[in-house]
Amino acid sequence: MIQCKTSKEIGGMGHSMRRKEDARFIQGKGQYVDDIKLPEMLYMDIVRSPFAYAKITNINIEKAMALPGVLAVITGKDLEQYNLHWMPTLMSDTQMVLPVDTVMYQSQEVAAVIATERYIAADAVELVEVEYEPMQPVMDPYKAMEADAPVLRIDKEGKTDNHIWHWEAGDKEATDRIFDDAEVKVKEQMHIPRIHVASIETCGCVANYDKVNNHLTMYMTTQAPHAIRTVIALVAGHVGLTEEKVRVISPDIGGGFGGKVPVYPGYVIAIAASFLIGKPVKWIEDRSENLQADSFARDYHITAEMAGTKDGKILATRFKLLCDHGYTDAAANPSKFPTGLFSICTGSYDYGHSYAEADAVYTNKPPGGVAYRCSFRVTEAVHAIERITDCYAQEINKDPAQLRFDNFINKDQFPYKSALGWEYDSGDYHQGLQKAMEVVGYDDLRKEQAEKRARGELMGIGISTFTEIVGAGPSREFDILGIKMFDSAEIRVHPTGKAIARFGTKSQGQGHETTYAQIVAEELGIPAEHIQVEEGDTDTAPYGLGTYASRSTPTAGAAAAIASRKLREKAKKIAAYLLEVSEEDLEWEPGKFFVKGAPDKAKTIQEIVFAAYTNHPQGMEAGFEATHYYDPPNLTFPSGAYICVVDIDKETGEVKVRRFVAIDDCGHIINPMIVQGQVHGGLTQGLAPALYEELIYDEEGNILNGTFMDYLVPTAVESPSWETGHTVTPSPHHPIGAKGVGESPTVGAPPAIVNAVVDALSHLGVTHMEIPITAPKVWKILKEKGAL
Amino acid sequence: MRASGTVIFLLNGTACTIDFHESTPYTPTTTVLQFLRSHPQLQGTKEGCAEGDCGACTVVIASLNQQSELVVEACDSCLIFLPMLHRKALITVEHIGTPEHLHPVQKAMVDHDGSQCGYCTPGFVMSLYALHHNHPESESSREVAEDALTGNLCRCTGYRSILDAALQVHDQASMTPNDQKQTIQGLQSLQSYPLSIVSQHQKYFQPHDLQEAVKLRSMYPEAVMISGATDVALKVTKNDEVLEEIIDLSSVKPLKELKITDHYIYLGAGLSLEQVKRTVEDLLPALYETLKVFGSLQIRNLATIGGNIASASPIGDTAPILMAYDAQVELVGPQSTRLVPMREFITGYRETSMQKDEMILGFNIPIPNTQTHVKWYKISKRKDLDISTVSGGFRLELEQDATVSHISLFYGGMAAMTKNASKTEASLLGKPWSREQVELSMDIIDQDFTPISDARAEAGGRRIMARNLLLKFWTDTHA
Ligand SMILES: Cc1cc2nc3c(=O)[nH]c(=O)nc-3n(C[C@H](O)[C@H](O)[C@H](O)COP(=O)(O)OP(=O)(O)OC[C@H]3O[C@@H](n4cnc5c(N)ncnc54)[C@H](O)[C@@H]3O)c2cc1C
Ligand code: FES
Ligand code: FES
Repeated sequence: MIQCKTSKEIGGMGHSMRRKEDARFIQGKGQYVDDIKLPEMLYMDIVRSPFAYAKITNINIEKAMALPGVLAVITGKDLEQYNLHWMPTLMSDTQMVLPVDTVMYQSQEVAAVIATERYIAADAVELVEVEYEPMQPVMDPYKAMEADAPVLRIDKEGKTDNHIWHWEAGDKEATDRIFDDAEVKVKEQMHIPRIHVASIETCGCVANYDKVNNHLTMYMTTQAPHAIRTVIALVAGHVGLTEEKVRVISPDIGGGFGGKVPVYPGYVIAIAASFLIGKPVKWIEDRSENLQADSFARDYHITAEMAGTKDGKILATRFKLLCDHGYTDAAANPSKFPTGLFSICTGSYDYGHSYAEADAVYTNKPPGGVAYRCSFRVTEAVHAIERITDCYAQEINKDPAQLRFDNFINKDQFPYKSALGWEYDSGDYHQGLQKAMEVVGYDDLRKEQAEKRARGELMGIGISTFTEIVGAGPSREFDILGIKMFDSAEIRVHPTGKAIARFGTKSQGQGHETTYAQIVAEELGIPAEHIQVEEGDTDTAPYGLGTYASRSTPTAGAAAAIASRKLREKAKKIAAYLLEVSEEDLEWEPGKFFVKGAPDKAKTIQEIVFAAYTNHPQGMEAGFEATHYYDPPNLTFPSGAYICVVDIDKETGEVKVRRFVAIDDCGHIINPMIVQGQVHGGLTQGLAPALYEELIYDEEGNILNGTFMDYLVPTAVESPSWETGHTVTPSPHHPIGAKGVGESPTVGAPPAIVNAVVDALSHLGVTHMEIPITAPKVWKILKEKGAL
Repeated sequence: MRASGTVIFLLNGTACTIDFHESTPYTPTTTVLQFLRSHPQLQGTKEGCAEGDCGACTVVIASLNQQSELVVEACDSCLIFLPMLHRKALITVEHIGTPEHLHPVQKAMVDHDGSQCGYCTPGFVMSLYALHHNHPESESSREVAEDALTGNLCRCTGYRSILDAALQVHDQASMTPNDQKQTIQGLQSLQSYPLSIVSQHQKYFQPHDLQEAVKLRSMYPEAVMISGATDVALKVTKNDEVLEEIIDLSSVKPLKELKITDHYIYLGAGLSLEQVKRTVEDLLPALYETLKVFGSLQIRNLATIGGNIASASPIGDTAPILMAYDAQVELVGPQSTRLVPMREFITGYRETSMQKDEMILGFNIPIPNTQTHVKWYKISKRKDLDISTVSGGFRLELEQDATVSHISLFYGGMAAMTKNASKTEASLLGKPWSREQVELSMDIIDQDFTPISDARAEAGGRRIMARNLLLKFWTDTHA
């Protein structure tokens, strides 16, 4: 049970408070971008390329312009006049807004139609005549790296190959030496395919440029409104849209998962259109556009190796990555981390040496690499380490749970310096796995498995004990386009003791309106009910880098606590003044200061706040307001122990997840109900790539499953009855000891599922299965191994 | 009854008319979702895909059946053309519950943390509303709840909390008795007349009687007929096609006929797949199995059996099974009706033997005797709400000595149309129904089909699936 310091009425940390945002959501009163309608608003629709790689020889807009209601057709040549046809990506690469002469991936934006009605714009899109000269695309990243591969980014001066960057971490020589001498070595090749965030709301915006005041208001599905405002100013400052002239509003967001961090061409074209025409322009992607053109993640080819002793001591790991970024590196990573935080790949285990290297490559796929419910490539890293750990256990014929116990970093080793240089803040991995094994009934399951195996039935148990790395991040290392990755809170308490709190982050379902209120309630004793939380409007909220990478609680949540504490300090001064005692004589309990030894002599926080406006001590600044920009001293390192049990139908190869136990450790829990909801959702998003989801391209660069009819996200039927629990190992450096949880399950679930499937088939000599593990894949292996 | 161009329906309890002959921003193929989203006060209904796959647009439609009982169904509003609302009641999320008095399903959603980003939430709320209406608390089971929710995608919650909410809605009924009475009265008060909408670019007819429908069909041989429109609506929403002439059969009463005798079931072409599903559970269990995993409840409430067969899709699910049941299609034309065996009805990729002036009236399905095995199998990537990669409708009759006296093996997804594996069938006829024989015959399936590769499966994978289905059939039927 979680201990609460505050009463239910105050509703501080640990209370499963009902979500404040639900009141509008369940009544259909959420305000999403597509719900915004402005007077004289125009609609934009986009002409997209049917080819993955082609020269544009001609664009004829005549017929489209002749359609009544069409106001403009914008092409790359039009934008070129304003030098707006290219934009920088978050990784300092470049991306076309609209092409002038070449398209680089299927569904790329080619032209945009602006019309008075949405359906007129859609009709006009069909009337824009584009002549293409198709070329043979490069779809395979390995082929793209070959010496004779056609160079795709000829727009980049002096580019002679498709290589984007090389990255490495760790001591190569020392690691190689250990591998050379090791008793046991295992190696596996794995592919983390391209997948899609598939939030139920697609991307879109309403750009509203006001010519008279030279001011742009941009309503937009963005997880990082402040950063976007800065980017807009950087891209369009030269045409007069400097930062004070731009307001970005991120209304309710229907799921983001990282897909709503980057700037997509559609947003920029809408701004350009509104700027040129002087009226509001709305652009909303339809589902196919969304699935085919943006919000893509992963696509890492990984070779993972582990060296160890015969009896199961891990000595070293080695990782080699080929990273398929598509046409440009538009990943949303902190600037200094081209491969994100992949270097968490050493995992939860205590060993001295590791070496990881990565090469990124251009292909004719749409830009990929969004941090899909993952703190920048942590999913890839966890998959690699948790899979290769199982391979090692299998190789030496040791129980994978025991192997993990024998190699875990001990709880007294924290803070722990990993072989690739991170300082893990805290953890208790033994306790987590112990608990998961008890809940699932591990020993009985192993017995059952043995019996079933004897009968020829297929059942497997898979474990994943992962360490995450979230809360980017400390300003000495973390920035996006130079802006340090702090985050902020601003709390203003009104005379009657009710408050408004604003943040630089932006919820997309995480329940910030509730949890932030609870943090403030915890620290100030003002009931969470009385604290209104606001995010997403750059005119009112303090600057912050937004919500992704499980960073909101570690950064803005910390800022909320510290800003509240600043206010509590002020409250103490006022209380001392009102009670006519010295500050040292006062003691705090949630909601009031009282005189030590005389609990009756007390002032409630509400009385104190009122006094801050009506009767404050001379010389003190009036009002009751505080702001804090929190620059975290370190990242936080949540962890989890997951156990999955699968049954496999031999006749069809179908994998059924019978049980899934997830024990998470995210430090102190703010709202257990919300944490559980986050874990359920994340687990389902981990199940999805493990068993179902993958975007498939053919050699011509056509996407073969770009609709919800073909890109199958799990429904209620596929989703197992998740069994969740937690251990609590607070972060020592975080003001409220919290760690961030939204992404752990997405990261931790896939290897648990794969390990379970491989475990079910291990007696047949199977050591690895590539995701998604579909029924035909399993059936084929069964057939090959003669198990049918 | 004079036809009119005015659609009349109850919009959240209030009569609402749309006169397509006046100037209106809507066309006869404007979807209900587009209509709702054009109203600032009715934007709670969301678009997630506009193709029936996500359920964000779920609304409830109430109507009176032939016995004047209230039928309450969750449907995907992105697949319904506005005139299809004629004489029905449309209920949206704005209508149920108030901030002070949440509807029980809304309260359950809050209590169980059923909403995160909130975008899917109105759709779930409406599915739960219909579920709770049709299955008062005593009947709700996880299976029923899952079935009611497969048509709603949520990317945030992982569904657990929503299923919990679905199972723990207590208190009162979805619609209070008073609500029900008012809705019934409201519906009865709407004038009854066929629709005949002739606008600048489109003609849309919604006849009431069969003769009228047949006459329209002869007059407009190029018109697109719709029953549930789940197939046809995609042409408009996905491919931006303009349908110039539409004959909407959804109000033609004879198409809703349902007759059960000792030996036959007669299913009117216009019966919704959900109605069919509920009817055939005991009598035609293999058809029931087909429909259990057909699309989603929101789709089955709209889609009709006639539409599914007439669309003649190679992966249409009901064709193989109706063939296995040896059903007959009853066609009606200007002169007469005629019966065509189901197995001869489909002639090619989306082609049938129906004449330009005919339509499907219904299906005559013999109820097999207890010795006959009829089974249906479907392989798809996802269990529900997924079209088939390969499907099979199989029928087997055995002699006393367990030799095969009749076998039909109809496959979907293996060729351009639903087709039987004739060489494989021949190889089994008169042979013992044994594993050895079946395994021998499995090799012959390759001679029957040359399947294609696509995103769902490689050709080789399809071959393997086809073989496996036969083996599974044997496993399920041998003594
Ligand atoms: C999300 C989704 C999921 C789906 N899942 C499945 C699935 O699992 N399995 C499957 O098989 N299909 C599936 N479908 C396809 C579709 O739902 C079916 O084909 C449906 O049964 C069509 O019926 P309808 O009444 O909606 O047809 P309509 O769209 O009204 O018509 C379809 C065709 O039939 C013709 N037609 C209709 N009624 C008659 C009649 N009485 N006489 C002659 N011709 C007629 C029409 O002219 C048209 O050509 C799915 C569709 C969607 C959108
Ligand atoms: S919008 Fe997705 S089902 Fe209608
Ligand atoms: S709550 Fe976000 S999609 Fe369901």
